[in-house]
Amino acid sequence: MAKNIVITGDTVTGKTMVAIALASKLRESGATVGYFKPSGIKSFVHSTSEMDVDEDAAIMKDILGMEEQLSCICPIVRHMSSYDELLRIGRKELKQKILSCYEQISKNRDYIIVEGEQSPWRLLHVGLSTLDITRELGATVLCLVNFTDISAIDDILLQKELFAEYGTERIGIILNLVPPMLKKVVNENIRPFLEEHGMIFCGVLYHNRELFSPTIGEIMRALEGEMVIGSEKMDLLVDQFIVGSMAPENALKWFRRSKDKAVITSGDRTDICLAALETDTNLLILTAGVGPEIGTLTRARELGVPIMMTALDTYGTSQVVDDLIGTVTVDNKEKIAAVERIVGEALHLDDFDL
Amino acid sequence: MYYDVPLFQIGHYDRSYIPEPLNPDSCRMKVVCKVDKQKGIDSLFYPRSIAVIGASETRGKLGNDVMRNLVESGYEGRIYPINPKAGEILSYKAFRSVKDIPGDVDVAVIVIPAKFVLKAVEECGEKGVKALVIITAGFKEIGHEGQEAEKTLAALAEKYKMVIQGPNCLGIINTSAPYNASFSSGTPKKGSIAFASQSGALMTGILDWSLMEKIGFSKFVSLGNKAHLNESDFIEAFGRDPDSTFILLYIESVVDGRKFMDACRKVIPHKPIFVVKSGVSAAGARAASSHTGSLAGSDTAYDVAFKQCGVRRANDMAALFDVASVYDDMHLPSGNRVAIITNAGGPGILTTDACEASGLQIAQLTSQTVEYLKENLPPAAAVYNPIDALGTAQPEDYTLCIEAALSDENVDSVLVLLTPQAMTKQTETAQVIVDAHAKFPKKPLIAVFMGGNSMVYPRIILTEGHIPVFDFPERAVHALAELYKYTVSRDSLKEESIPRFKADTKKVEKIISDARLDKRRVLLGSEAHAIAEAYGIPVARIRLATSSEEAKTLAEELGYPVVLKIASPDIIHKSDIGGIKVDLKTPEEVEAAFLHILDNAKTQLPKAIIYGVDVQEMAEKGKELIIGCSRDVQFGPLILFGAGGIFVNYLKDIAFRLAPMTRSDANELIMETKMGTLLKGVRGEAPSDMIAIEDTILRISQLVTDFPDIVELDINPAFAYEKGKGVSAVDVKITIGGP
Repeated sequence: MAKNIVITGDTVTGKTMVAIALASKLRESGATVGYFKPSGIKSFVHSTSEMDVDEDAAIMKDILGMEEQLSCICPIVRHMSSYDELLRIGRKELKQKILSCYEQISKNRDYIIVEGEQSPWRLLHVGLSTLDITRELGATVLCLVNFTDISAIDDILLQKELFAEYGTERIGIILNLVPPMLKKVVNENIRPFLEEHGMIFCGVLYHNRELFSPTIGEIMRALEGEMVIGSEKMDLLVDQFIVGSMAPENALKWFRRSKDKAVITSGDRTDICLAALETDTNLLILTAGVGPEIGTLTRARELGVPIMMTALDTYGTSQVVDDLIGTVTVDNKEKIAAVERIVGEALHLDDFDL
Repeated sequence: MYYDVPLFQIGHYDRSYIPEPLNPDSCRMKVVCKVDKQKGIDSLFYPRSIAVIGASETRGKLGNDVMRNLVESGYEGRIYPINPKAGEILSYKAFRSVKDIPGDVDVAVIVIPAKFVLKAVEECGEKGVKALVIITAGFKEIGHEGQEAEKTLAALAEKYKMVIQGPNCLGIINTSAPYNASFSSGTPKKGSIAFASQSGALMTGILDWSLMEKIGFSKFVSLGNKAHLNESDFIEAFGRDPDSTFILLYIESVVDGRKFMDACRKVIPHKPIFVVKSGVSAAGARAASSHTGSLAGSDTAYDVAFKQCGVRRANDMAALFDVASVYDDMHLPSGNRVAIITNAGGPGILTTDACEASGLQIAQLTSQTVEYLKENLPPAAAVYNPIDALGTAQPEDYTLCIEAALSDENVDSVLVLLTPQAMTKQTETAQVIVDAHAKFPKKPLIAVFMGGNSMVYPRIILTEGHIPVFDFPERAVHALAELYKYTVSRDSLKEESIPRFKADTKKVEKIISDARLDKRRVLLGSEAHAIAEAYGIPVARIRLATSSEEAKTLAEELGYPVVLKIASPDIIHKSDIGGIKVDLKTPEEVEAAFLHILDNAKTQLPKAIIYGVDVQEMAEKGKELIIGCSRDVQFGPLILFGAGGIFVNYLKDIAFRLAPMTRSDANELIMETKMGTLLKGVRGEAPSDMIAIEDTILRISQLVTDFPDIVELDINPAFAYEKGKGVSAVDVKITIGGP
């Protein structure tokens, strides 16, 4: 029988990343791993006219190479069109659907990673919350808690109480989005505090830029851009975006401040392009369809820095890319390796009964 | 390898002489250089044989132009045209390949399509050619492949121990060899100016113009893409060349800033170097970047570099050649005192104004001169400087005024103005000026003949009599002033050691590598202050607190009152988001401020990554200074000093020097600003601790020299206190580069 691990937490970001890293760890040890998301939300980008698709399920199916239908990996896909869209179908039918799909997925697999709803209490109204599912499947619980400041200890205790109420006494806790200033506090105080309260400390995800950085591929898709050179580097991460419209003598000063950045400028600003190339730049984004001058191209080729062109102007470009940073989407295969590495290193599951 | 060569040999020069490493005893000065390059340039300047690869019989082809120039320039060595068809070119036997030539070849000029160049260069290497002039274009300027080809060229040069000028250049002309291996139209007059230019087209214009202006050149070098030989190599070679006494450069960028400065410093004590460097304005810099395909260093850095190595910068080409034309004919002025002789009041006053504005002084004539002029000039004439001999002035009047001025010990140089009035005899006056100079050749004498048609012939007389002549006074004054300023900067180049202070370099290394592990480019305040402290710079101490409890403990340790500042590399203007609280006197205030600052940061910049809050001791207020450094791509650390505080960008009372610096450099840097004057104490105020300020500048200079990874550093403000009370760095910011 497969072992179930529920990944839960009141977080928008992080659960799927933990699922990816956990799956990778388990598979490394030789186990067969499946992914199951009892209920998700319709992604209008990924859905087709025939099928409603949850984004996380789509990417996990892909990563794990699961042969099951997406409609089975994530049997309930909410449209969020009305408060009673699920009530109308009824608990019984929904539960039936979930369990039969789970049965299919769990067949011949050692582990099933069950990704919870956006928060553990969602879907309480049809009795199918993550809490209910956990109890139903008798799963082990890994709970992510955003720990942006110390007041979050109460959030941790709330999660513990919730799951205890539903029959799970010991849950694993992963602290998420921890700022560097809390490093010491987390290690010296929070960890023992959790252990005293009967929880298992399973690691810390620091506010790591790399996890929140889009790849060049992602940027290209968002900008509907075109690569001039460097199309083989689509998985390079971009940490920060800087609009290069300053006087050339100030450009270096600003460009030097950031690592792994993309510089957004116009192709005719050779001075800015060259200054950007002189510093730690992962991508030049040339706007308004003005391509690079030969000097820029030569230097970029020499240094191996990709150049992208977009028809958007500088302002439009910066608006689009601004939305790419700080939100994690794993809708991009290039980033999986970074997630597996960084989150994988952060997870400590030795004390956790798997 | 280093070798010693005699610099500035005066007198006989054996034209066939190829310098070998010489006996050090015969040297006036040690020159540090790679053997091959300077030796190669010597071969380039004085070749015994020249091959023209791509020589052509067909008029209109570059290979024909180069051949004809070479033949017509009167070159006395052997000429070998190379052409796959062989036969004869301009009556010289042609060879299919340079390898077929029976004798040695010193120089090969390459004018064949770019795709054949590498092969030809390889053959030249095998043949043992010493220097190549690659005129062919189609290298770096056409993109990546071209650039790769240039790298191969440089590698081949090193492999075969030869030097390469160009590619993509006009060629080379040496009027003293003599030979012209370029595709210029015409050969310049023989003279003593050595000219190197990054623009070949500009050279053709100058050459043509110089023929009209009768300005002579010793060497005329087109630098091209500078794949191997660059401006620094030629400056050094011009410095050693006895036929060149004056060096002019047109550049858009330098290849190696440090090497350039070293080469100039060596030459300046003996010969003036004047440079026009384009790309001053933002738009100009952009144009230069796009033209050269390389990031130009900041124009400020160029300015400072020129200043620090004694090079004079001309603002435009006209000014460059004005100076050259005066220097070509005259000795350098021994001071800045000028006598002005005129036949009209207005031009005299204009010239006086121009002199004052350019840093020249209107000489105070000795009483003997004044008396002599009074006796011999009409009573209405002005006998003090400017000397106005009136509109009626005849050539004899000019003679007596000029001779009196030239023999006056209070006068270093003389400007003679002439306007064409009814009784003026332009031609005869021109002649008496030539005669006067022959009598007193040591003091510079410059003519300003204002006018048009009637001045054409007199100007010819002056030019042929080696008197520099101008249309209007401002240009003449500017040229004279520039020569005077050269003498000043030449004399101010001193041998002074760079001071070294004790420093904890281990600590700095550790901080930098920790920040790098954390993938940060911008150091935290506490780290930056620790680095400054490790170099003995007095700082207002700062510690990072990650909780309000810790902040209180640290405040206790540092002593009240304290300042709290948000610590986040993402937040640049801390005060703008309420990220700074000052003058906190109690633990309660510290706790409240800690929470308030975090709250402000989180609400205003939710995406910023916060490392904590810095707790800093509160420094007593002093004079607000800024001391900073930005690493220039060409010249390295550029140190800034000036009036600090939040108005830096508006006051712009700042000056720059390149590190490493001597104590005189530091002092001059301070005194170049208005703040420098204030620091000395004005209106009864006590003077500031100048030594401590100099020390701080020098310690920073040492820090950024020791650690190339520090790419930006700013101390703003640093408080300067009264003499003996030192300085205190209040806010230190450091950005690191590297991997």
